Amino acid sequence: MQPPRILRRAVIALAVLATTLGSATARAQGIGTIDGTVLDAGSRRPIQSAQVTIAGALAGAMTNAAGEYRIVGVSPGSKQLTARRIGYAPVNATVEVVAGQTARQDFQLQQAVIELGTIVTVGTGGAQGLAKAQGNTVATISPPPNIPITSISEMLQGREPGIQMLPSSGLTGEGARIRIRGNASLSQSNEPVVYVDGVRVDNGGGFGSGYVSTGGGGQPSRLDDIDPNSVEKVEILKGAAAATLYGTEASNGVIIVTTKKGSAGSPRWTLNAEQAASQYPKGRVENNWGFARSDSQAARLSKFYGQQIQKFAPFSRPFATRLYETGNATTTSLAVSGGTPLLTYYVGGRLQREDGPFSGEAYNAPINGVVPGTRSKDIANKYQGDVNLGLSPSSFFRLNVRALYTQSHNDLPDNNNSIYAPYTLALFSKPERAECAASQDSANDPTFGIASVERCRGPGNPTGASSFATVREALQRSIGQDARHVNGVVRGTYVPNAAWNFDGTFGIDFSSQRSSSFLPFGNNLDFRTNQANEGDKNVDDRTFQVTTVGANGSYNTDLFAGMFSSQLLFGAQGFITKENDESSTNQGFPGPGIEVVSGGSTPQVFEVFSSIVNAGYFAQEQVGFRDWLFTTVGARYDYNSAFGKSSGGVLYPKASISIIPSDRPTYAASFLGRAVPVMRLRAAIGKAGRQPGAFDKLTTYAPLTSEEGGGLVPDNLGNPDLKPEISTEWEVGTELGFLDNRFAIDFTRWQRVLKDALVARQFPVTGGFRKLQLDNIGQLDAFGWDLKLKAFVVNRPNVSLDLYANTAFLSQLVKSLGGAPPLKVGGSYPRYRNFIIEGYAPGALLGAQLVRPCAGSATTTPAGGVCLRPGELPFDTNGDGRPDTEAQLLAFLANPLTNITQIDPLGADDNNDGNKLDHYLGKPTPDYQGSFGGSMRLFQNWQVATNFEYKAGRYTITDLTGAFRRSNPNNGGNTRARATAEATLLNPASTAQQRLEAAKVYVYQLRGLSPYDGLNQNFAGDFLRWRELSLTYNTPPAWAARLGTSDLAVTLAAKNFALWTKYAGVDPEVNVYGRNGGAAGTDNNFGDAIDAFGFPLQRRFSLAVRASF
Amino acid sequence: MRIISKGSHAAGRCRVAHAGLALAGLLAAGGCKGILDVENPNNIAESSLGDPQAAVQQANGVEASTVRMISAIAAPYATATDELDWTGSREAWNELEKGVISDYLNEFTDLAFTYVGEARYTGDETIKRFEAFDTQKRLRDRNSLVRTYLHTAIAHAAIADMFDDFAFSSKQTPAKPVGRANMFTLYDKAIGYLNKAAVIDTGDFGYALLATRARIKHAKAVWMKITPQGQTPANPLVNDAGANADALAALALSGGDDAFKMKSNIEAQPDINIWFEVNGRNEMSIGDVYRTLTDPITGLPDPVSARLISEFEDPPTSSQEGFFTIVSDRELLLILAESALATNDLVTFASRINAVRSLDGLPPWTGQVPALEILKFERQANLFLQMRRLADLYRFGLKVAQWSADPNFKSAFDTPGVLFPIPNVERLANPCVANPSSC
Repeated sequence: MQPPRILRRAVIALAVLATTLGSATARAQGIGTIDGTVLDAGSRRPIQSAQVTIAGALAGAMTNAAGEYRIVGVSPGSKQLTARRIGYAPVNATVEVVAGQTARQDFQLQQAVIELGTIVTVGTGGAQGLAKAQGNTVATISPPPNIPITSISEMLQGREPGIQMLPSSGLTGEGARIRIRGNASLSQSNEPVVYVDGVRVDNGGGFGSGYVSTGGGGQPSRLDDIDPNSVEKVEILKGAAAATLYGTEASNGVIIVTTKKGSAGSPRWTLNAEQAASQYPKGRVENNWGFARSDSQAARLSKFYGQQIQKFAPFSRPFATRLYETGNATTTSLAVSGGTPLLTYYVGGRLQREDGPFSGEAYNAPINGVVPGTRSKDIANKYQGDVNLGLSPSSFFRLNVRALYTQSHNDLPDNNNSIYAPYTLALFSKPERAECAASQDSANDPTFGIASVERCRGPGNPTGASSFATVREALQRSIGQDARHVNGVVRGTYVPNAAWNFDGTFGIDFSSQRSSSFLPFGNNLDFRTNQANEGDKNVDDRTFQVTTVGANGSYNTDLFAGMFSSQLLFGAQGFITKENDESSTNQGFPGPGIEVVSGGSTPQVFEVFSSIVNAGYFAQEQVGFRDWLFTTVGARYDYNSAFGKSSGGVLYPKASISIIPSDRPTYAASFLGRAVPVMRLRAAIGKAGRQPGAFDKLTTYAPLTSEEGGGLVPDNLGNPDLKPEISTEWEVGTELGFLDNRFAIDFTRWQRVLKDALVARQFPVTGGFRKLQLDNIGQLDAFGWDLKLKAFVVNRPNVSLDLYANTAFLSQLVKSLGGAPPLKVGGSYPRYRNFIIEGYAPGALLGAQLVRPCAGSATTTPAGGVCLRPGELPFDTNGDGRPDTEAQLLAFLANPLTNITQIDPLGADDNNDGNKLDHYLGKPTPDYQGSFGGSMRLFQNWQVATNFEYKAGRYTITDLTGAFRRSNPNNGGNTRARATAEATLLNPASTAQQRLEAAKVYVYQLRGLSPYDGLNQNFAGDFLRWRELSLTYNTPPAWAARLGTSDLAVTLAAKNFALWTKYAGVDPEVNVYGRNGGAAGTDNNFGDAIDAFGFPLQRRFSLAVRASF
Repeated sequence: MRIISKGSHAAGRCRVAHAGLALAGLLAAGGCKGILDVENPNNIAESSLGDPQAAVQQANGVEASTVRMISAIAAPYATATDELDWTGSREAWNELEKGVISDYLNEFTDLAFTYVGEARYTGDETIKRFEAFDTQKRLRDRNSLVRTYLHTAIAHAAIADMFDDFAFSSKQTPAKPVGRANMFTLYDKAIGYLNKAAVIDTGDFGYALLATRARIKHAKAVWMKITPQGQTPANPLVNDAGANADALAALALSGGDDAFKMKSNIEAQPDINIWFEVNGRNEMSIGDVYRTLTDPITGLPDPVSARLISEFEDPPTSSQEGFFTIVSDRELLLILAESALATNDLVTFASRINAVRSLDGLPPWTGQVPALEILKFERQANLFLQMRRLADLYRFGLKVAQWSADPNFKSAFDTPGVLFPIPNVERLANPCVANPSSC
């Protein structure tokens, strides 16, 4: 497959490198060199990774850890240099270069919270422009120094307002869903598109669309195949106003990753080594509680648990947390960069091996003396390499060739809302149901089959697990994935003169992932599971390839004696995506030992193929006036193979304005200039789209096998008039710098309207077609604001302090579904209560409530529904349709209950429409989300950095885990409150009054699930998490030199260090739906904030060493 | 077969040309022709159905969708009776177990109904196409039409057996429901299809057609007994001349203990199916009533239901697929026995009942228990999981122990005859359900 090709490429590249290095040395004779250092003006410390460039030329260099740079092969003459670094104001200098000599130019960069001089990407193919000229914002994220970052998901987490990384659970190797400014589509994928060095990449993940299932969580992201060490910066275009030139598919924003490149100079090596330990916080998982209902049960349980257990006295065991262990991870990376004026190189590699904090060893008890073993593991290994070569045969042409390669392996247990997940089964377990009956020698066996405390001699149910399987049986399943991901790009840049610039990009991103799920023959160790007792095997092979071709040019000129500047950008770009997914499943192996699909007796296969072609051209003109006012107009005209037969191309226009009063010559001396030395005002409006699925326009029939052979049934209803949905977004904002540009406010207000929204509409199923059909009928409105505060409080040689705080507000409204019925997350599964319904936020939670007190003297709700009159309670024990009085209830509770469900509550139907599940209960997306933190340097060499992240404001979580544990009679029903209330209600020794109080606890706090879905299930999820904390010691240069390094740092770090929340569930960030394939659909888009048996996020502690030499 | 989405008309060429402009300079290979044409090799275009050469495959589709529909709805139906007991985690099954049948929000009847709608539509539309082919003399294999009549009739009868109402929509076009009082018309339509099938059948489907028609005519008569809902009929027994005639004719073609069955393949399972829920997931188990069923004459465990349970729990291939008995000699004999009992012809009744009992070597009924009781018992034992139980419970005035009088819904406990409503998925998508007068 790919590796041989990659190896060939590597060999060729190395040959080129060796040849050209030699020739480059020869060519360097007779030309000049520039070198110098770049220092922080405040602290006088060297700045690493600052770029020093020569105006109007492709040559440049990057500083090392000592802040030193060296540009060789410079033609003689006067050269204008610019030194830049994110976080600093760029500085220009002019230097005279003499042939055969070295000119020295040092720089001192001043920290600048507002970086208007930064170069940002403004179009496909890497077209660039000044940040201050753009009317829209381009958020730039650099890998935070001294924070051990293990993935791109972590790099983006909590850095920028309006960008959310949504994990599913705390499983090792899991990727996050990405949302930028909420949801820009009702039915299509809400993942942003991602480019690495101008090449579209696979932004999917998961385990394919076939037969391999994990229960929802633990799904890897293909974006995490990018080695975070290879990333120079990540730019984020937050919406249509910024992403117009990216056209169709860009309405959810664009993420542009720029990788590191080499710069001329001797080789510079960087070594990172990290050892980490991980754990799940135990304190947030309540033990499993239960109680004995009879003396005989109490006696048996006393023997089993080795403690005295009294009838109706609740007791507990920590079944779920026994699946926790301390995980460990080792990461090592090595990179080298350097080169000559002719050829530069950056070569990096990274090895990451992780065994996470899940283990089934506590349940690996012997069965009749034989230890059965467990197969469920949590492993995430990655092997990554990247090569970036830059060839500059002349001062006006540069060729870049870059390749990334990742090989990854993941293992994980079945998880989340799966009845066969070990963790779920442990949470379901009821300690009073523990028994070893299957190990009993006879019905009168006095040992009850017990071998020792909490262990059966052989088969049994030692945790009182649910109907479906024991924890030990579930631990027999292994789920895993092996993936390979290659991304390559060739980019040519031609700069014939200072006015013209041409870029051409050709790249391919190819990923291949093989996922599998295996359950061995004879997995029913305890005679409880029926999942597939003779074993099963499921395999999914997914290949994804996207080819990107782009060309663009720019023409820069000054007009009217420099009064106006003009930048014309034009180009074309297209990509071809091909995805193939093949899957097979089989079960019923003839005996143990077989682990292949072909070994079963009921094979099934699945294959799906899709191809999407997208191509468009664009142009943009930017006019600047005296370098302080810039206006931009542009558009992209796009074609897409999925638009449908009757639809032509689509035009996406944009316009923006950027005004920088502080760049006016007279501004600095004005009153405003003294108070607010840096000021920018900006506004932008633009459109971007999202196309329907590749085949949504077609009416099709699908194969379905009958006893007589292959048959056909209705599949896709089809809609030949489909067209892309289009987001129009405008934003206005300002950046204000105070106190010598050491304190800044960056504020953006944005508004988005999605028209012709593709609504996945259910037509009458009696019409024959079960599937939802897309229709351009909806409207989704959204608005919000992003606020960034940043301060460089102190910056002195011995101490510095930087602080930041970000907040984003988001409001979304489903304005119209065009007459289509509401959509529900999870289809007909009633426990997920997220809906897409007109007049509500997308994902709004609707469900059951208890009958509430009547208003005033009313005896019904305004619509005639039942309400509580004074003295009534939400019970109807006599079935008369009216709430019981307390006296009626006491009479009913005079005798103990035989089953707690005898006191089901009265659900409210306030609008009296027969539907008791239509009460608004909240929304799953918070009004506010953001982060704050900073870094502090002390005593010259010590640095502390931290990051806190929060979500707040009408943020409602569906606590399905808790609902099961509070309410379900067979699976769960095992919290302390539930056991106590149930024991009281069933205990003959209780008084009626005690039972009444227990009944109130039951209905007001515990009862839920069908037919009361939503009741006692939705809770405020507001939280503050201490996401990152690190302490770094940068050794003095002398110490580092003694070890043969130029720079040596040791970092002790913690991730997810602490959590503050009123949410009672295990973690307010877990969600039943994982990354999946970054797929479209109601579930993936709006199945948010559903806590359903997910592992909490891991705490991680690490020790890292970074050395440069 | 596969389809290719071609922008082959003039506008398409224009778009191709424009897109080519965009990419022509970029692709060294050049050539914009077809750049936006992508293939969909995954499915089959509707236009392909106009080819009579695919008639066999279309008939297979009707068969597959019919059995898939039965696989889906059988689980909620059997859970609402005493055939299955809820043991799992999803309370909507518990709701059915308690006899709360009329909840249109129940997730499982909701999900199953999508397959019901698919099967009905697929059958009716295929019949239309095949009849047109037949008229045009383009249908080379008329057995495809016979099979399609048969399976579509089964789908219609199953809908009438299990649902209180139904609508005959077509694609995006909603139709108003026929109404509870008119649900018998689905039986009539099914019988009409079977009549047409009988005319053109060359003998390959003789038993299946006759036996199915007998069973549907009987089912219609049973339906009349439990309609309108809310009361137990004074006389629960059916004596339908048409059903009797067809039953006798079918038995004449039988080998002695024949049955017409349809296989539910694991490759064509719906999202819920009765085998998975019971044999895989453990969400339900065989009802205790059936596990402990004893023959009223011998007092010993009933061998018939034990055999049927065993067949269900341990099918020959996967534990999650198997055969549905659509109609059997046993049922035909029971139909004839019932009609004899309805006319007080106890001799014939005994003959028919004992013919059934003799198939399992059971001693004959000679009046040890009342005739009606032995009839009820034999129907219960011999028709296990054949979607007859609920109507029998209603007409014989029986209540399942788990049924409760839930004041929130019309339940089987206090509303005999109540069947599944049109569920939420259809109510939301079909405006004619909420407001029939608007359609």
